[in-house]
Amino acid sequence: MTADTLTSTLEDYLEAIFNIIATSKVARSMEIADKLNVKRPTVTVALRSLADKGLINYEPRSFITLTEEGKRIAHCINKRHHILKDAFVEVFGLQETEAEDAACKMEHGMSTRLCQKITSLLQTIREDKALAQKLKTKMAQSEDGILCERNCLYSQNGSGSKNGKDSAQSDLNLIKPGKSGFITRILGKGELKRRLYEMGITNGQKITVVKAAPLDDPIEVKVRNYNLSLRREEAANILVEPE
Amino acid sequence: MSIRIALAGNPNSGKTSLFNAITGAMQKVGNWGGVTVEIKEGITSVNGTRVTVIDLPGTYSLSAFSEEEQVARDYLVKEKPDVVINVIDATNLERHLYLTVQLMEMGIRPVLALNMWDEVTAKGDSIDLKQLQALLDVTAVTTSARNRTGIDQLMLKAIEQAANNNKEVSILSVRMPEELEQSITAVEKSLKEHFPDLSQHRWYATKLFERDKTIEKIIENQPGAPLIRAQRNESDILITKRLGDDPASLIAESRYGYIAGIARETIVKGKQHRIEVSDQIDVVLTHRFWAYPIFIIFMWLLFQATFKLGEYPMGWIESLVGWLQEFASSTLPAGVIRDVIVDGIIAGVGGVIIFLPNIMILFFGISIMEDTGYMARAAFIMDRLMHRIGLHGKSFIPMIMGLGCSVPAIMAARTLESRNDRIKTILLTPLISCSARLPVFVLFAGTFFPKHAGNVVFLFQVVFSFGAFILMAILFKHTLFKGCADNPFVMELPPYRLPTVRSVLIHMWHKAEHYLQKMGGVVLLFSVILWWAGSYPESPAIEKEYDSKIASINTTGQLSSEQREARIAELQTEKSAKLLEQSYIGRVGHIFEPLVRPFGTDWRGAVSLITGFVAKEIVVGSMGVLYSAGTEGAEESDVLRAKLKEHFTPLSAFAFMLFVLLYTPCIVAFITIIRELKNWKWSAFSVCYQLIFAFSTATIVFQIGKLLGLQ
Repeated sequence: MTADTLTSTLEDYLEAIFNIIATSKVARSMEIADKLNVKRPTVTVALRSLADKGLINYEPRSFITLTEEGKRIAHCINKRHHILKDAFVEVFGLQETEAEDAACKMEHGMSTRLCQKITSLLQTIREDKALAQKLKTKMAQSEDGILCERNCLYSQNGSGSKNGKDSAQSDLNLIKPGKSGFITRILGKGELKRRLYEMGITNGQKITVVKAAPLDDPIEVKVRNYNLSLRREEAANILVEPE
Repeated sequence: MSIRIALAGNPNSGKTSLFNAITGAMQKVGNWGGVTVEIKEGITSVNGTRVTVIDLPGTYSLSAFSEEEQVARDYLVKEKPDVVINVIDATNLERHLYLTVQLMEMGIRPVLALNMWDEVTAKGDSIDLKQLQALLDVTAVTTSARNRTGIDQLMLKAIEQAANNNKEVSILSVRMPEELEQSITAVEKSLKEHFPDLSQHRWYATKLFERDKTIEKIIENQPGAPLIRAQRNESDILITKRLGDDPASLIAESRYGYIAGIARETIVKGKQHRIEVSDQIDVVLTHRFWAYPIFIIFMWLLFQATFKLGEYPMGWIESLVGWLQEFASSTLPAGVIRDVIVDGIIAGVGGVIIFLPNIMILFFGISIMEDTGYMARAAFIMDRLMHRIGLHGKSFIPMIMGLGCSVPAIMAARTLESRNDRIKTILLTPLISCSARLPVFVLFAGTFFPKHAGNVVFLFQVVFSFGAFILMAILFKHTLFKGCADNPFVMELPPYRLPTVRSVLIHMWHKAEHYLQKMGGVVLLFSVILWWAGSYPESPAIEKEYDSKIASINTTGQLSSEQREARIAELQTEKSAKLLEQSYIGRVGHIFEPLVRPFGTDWRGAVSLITGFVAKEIVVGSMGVLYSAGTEGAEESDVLRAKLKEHFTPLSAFAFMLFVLLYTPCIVAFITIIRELKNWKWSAFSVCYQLIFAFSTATIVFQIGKLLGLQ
């Protein structure tokens, strides 16, 4: 698999790992969670996915390094990020933070050709200071008259998942027999949760639903290479991201 | 020289098979006061070293939340065995190492028995032993309890380890996420400060974060405890907020993280990927349509084997006891001693061992079901139904076996892992009408409802008894066990395996031994007491009166010999009735008469019910005596039927049958309940609720019936 199938979220992760490694050699999921401001279980799922694609070396709890392919792609994304950000600051005169934020969102899915165009725009402006100044003034004059649709961004004030990235989660009951998912979180408290953990149902672990009992409850799952049965009500506490 | 070796391991790790392989049949159940969990002990000898092997209860963890875990951990901490052998299912290394890690966190360096090695090699897989030993710094031996390979090697290594015991063992500490690590270290420091006497402060600190009740109790009420608890709670909240998960979960996750690393370095996967036979079997046995018919066939076979096949040895036992009684009464001089031996002791012993065939056959079947892995599947397919009434899928087996006899059925509740489920099942099982109650129903149904006798018997034996079971189960679920959250079902489905004859036989023998040792004595004692209460105080006056009457018949020549015999039999029955009436049981029956009146029974009924406490089938015999109808073939006896009609109406008969169905089980079942519950409160409750339930049901039916003008 290549970067073509990487979602923007995963690209973000790859980039974050790349940046952390640049400063401290290895990355830990904690640091990644901090950097991306997401919950740790979410990170775990993403890391699993990246590891599956052969972009990072990862085992739960252990540190993370990039594979050669991962390095290449991360490097590429990182480069695009910088090009965009620089363009936003130098050409459009945006503030650092706004530019950074925008670059983060736009770096994904940028074609090589578009990247080339923007890079050449940036280079032209850098070389020709006069042109840069002229462009800035011209743009500043016309800006006020242009109406742009407002609030295209999804408002995240409502209830539901804290950030859009958790939306792919569902509980184990929604996984069809024969299908698998990665555990993102175990809800609830007390004995059940403890028991599940002890049986090896931990965050980031792959879990496969084998089948349901003849009366549909309980279900049989495969985790850590052995089979386990759970009641539906118990399975509802296990949140997973379908594979 | 002698050493003690403890076997620790997960359920289904083959731990018990290994224990059997090491110790042979030389084992006994250790007595560890107050626990329902058994610890078995066996003795063997290796190169002149006497080795006591202790089989700890199988547990997935040592978190001390369940009784098994508590017992296993207490043993390790308090009894400090010389060596701990950690039995591991080598086909499932990752999950089994979780317990290993926990052992090592306690400062124990176990010898690993990588059991079921034959299965690993059969799959074409392997485990890098050298690497595993190096990474964990332990000794590991491959074994197969089934083929009995690797066992000598295992014992040698264990003894070797025992010799090196004084060497300092490094305590394993798994790396946790940074914040958690810091918090644990902080609590560890406080513990060292306030509890310098404890060893292994890190372990205690970790346990506090795991919310271990036992450890919390140890530090409770000590100076410094509030501070440490506050420290723990504060870190707990902080970590939960920051890492998105509570410390207990993170600790478990960290352990598995550590194990994943080890597994990756040591497991060598073979190339072949054949479809597992086990999965194919499972497709059939848990099939959407076939699962239930197959299960019913298995249950039917188990039931038939237990109770029908069991009839033959039971017959032999009966004739042996009869022969012994005859022999004793013919050789011993007449008198109190002879009566005690013949009618008290020999009859009592007979009453105890008569259950042995049932118990042995049932547990033969159950251990096959457990060893093959079918038991877990039975629970898997039955859980939905049983859970509706607040029980566990495995409760189904005691329930069905209750139809034969409550004694083995109650013992079968052992297969339930959680204590709550076990208590509920044991309380409910006696409600299922056992086969000993059948003669009572046959007699009464035949007498009072001759046109529908079959249906009425079925109504009581099946409909009412299962109805009562379900009703009480639901009632318990919503009252007594309301606060208790359901125990997690979370149950391993082990691969299907062929059981070994040896292990099945040892299990069966073990159950029989357990029954004889734990229950035999008490049952015998109670039987003798009940016999005594039924025969004493003696009444020479009555005996004399009837003896002279009989003698006078013999001397008068007016009657033909047939008439004479009939008259003598009549007098004999009358005599027995009179004797029973003035015996202690008879007197108690009179005292209890006001209690049976509300459902239309007189003192004779009360006495029969009391004698039914010895064994339910005695009820009919007692009635034969008390209603002066003779005891021979009582349930078919027309005389008794006629007499019963004088004392009962169909309505009061119906109420009486309800009472017999629901009231306290026989003495053997009762002792079994006490032994299995190991709790006086619950045992007392078991008797009381059944009596109250039986009384109120019978009374309500009788009184309402009367109001409706029924006879």
